[in-house]
Amino acid sequence: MNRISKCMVLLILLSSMATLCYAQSYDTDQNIGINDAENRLRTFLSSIDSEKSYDEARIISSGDFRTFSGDYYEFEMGIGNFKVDKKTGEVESAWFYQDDSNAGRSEMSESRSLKLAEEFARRHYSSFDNLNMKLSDSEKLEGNNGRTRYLFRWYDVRESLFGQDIYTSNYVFVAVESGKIAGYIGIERETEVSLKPDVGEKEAMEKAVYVLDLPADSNTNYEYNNKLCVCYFDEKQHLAWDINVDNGVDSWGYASGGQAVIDAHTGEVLLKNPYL
Amino acid sequence: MKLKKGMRALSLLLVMILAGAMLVPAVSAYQADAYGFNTNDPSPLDTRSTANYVKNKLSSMGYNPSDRHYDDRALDGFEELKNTDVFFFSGHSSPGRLQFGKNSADRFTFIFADGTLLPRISNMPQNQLSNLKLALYLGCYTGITDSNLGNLVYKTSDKGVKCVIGFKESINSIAADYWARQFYDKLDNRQNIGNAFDSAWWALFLEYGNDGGISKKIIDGDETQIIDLY
Repeated sequence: MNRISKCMVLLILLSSMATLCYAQSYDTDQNIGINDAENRLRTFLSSIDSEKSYDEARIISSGDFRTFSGDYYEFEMGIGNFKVDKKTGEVESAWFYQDDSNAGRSEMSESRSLKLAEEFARRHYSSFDNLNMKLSDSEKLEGNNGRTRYLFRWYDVRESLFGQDIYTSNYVFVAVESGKIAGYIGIERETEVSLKPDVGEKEAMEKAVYVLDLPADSNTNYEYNNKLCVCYFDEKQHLAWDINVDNGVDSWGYASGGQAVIDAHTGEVLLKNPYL
Repeated sequence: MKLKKGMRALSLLLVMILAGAMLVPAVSAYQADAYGFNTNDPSPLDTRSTANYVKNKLSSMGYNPSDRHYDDRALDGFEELKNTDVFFFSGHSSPGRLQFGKNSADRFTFIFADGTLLPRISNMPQNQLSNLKLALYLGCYTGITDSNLGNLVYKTSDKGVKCVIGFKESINSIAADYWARQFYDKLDNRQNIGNAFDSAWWALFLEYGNDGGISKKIIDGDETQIIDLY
């Protein structure tokens, strides 16, 4: 092999290594690399509790996680499960595993839990004070080992021309269990669709009843919970009517009803989700 | 000469046995059963793909799942429930009752919690379910008590199950399917039952923005169990 050939081989080897290193740092579509995502996650975790031991914060496994609204790196750790948005590097989902002991744990009232949740949301969701974040739901749930869990949900709510609230795809969920943050979801997406619906609420309700195979003539007995929202299905953003219909139970005790999501521009059924 | 030939034959036989052992996968002593249904009554529903996913996950965890349980009759399900290590049901249900497939008279069959009808869990011998690590009744109101038919979760618990999960309200079918897949993925990653439940529930929120009723659960028993055998 002459000197030129040797140089060529060396160049090919060096360029291959450089490509591999680049691929490690940057995924396709300008996504951040998994190492960057891990660093972002560690910064997020140390801002919550700098006293967690290395063993608790050790990554057990990591991989890809896809949702309709984005792609994530998922990290499974001894302390919980975390998802980092591949595009922005934001920790958009965190669930902290609860310990089994009740030592040092005491129940916290709903109002104090809400205060804790809101403080956490303001600290970690940078647009919390810039958007029109409204507390839309407060739920009291059963947590681990008989403890009480509270779930709070805030949405960036806009108003349509007809005074209808529109729930955008900017939202924060925080779960609090016995005075500790148990879960956090913080999603922020640009609104790309027109916020003017072409399909009315009544039309969407009728369609929901039809697709859920509910009798049309029992319409007056149904209990509805409707929301006009910006949401994602099949990785596309839609303005949609989220219709939840409850028809109670039949004589055998079977639940009747479900959820249907109807595109508010095209009338397309995006989700048909009847009760089991 | 004869001794040499005999030794050769014996060696060949040993090699064949060893090769056979390598080729034939070991069959786990732990049983698992996942039930799904395709029905139009009382409303259209198809949970067979959920059951199939769960069956494959249980296999990956080291269990020996029975053949596909699609639209099986309640009596078959009842016998499996009595002798299995992990039991999964996804289908129509109401307080105190799980709906199974049709019998030869074209009528739906059921497993009941209590009451006078058969098969019912309360009729099992005491500690019949002491080998059962996890029973998951993924259906509407499976954690609610009916005045005649009892409560599926509590009656299962009475018979010695280590952990049983039911639900106190109605559940949306797409949410149930998504949550079940996530839940068994987490169990397959050696999460304990309680953490797997919560982590899967949170993933459901991330995907759909709501949980379709999954949060209204009732978990009775040891939720700190890790059921992955590997």
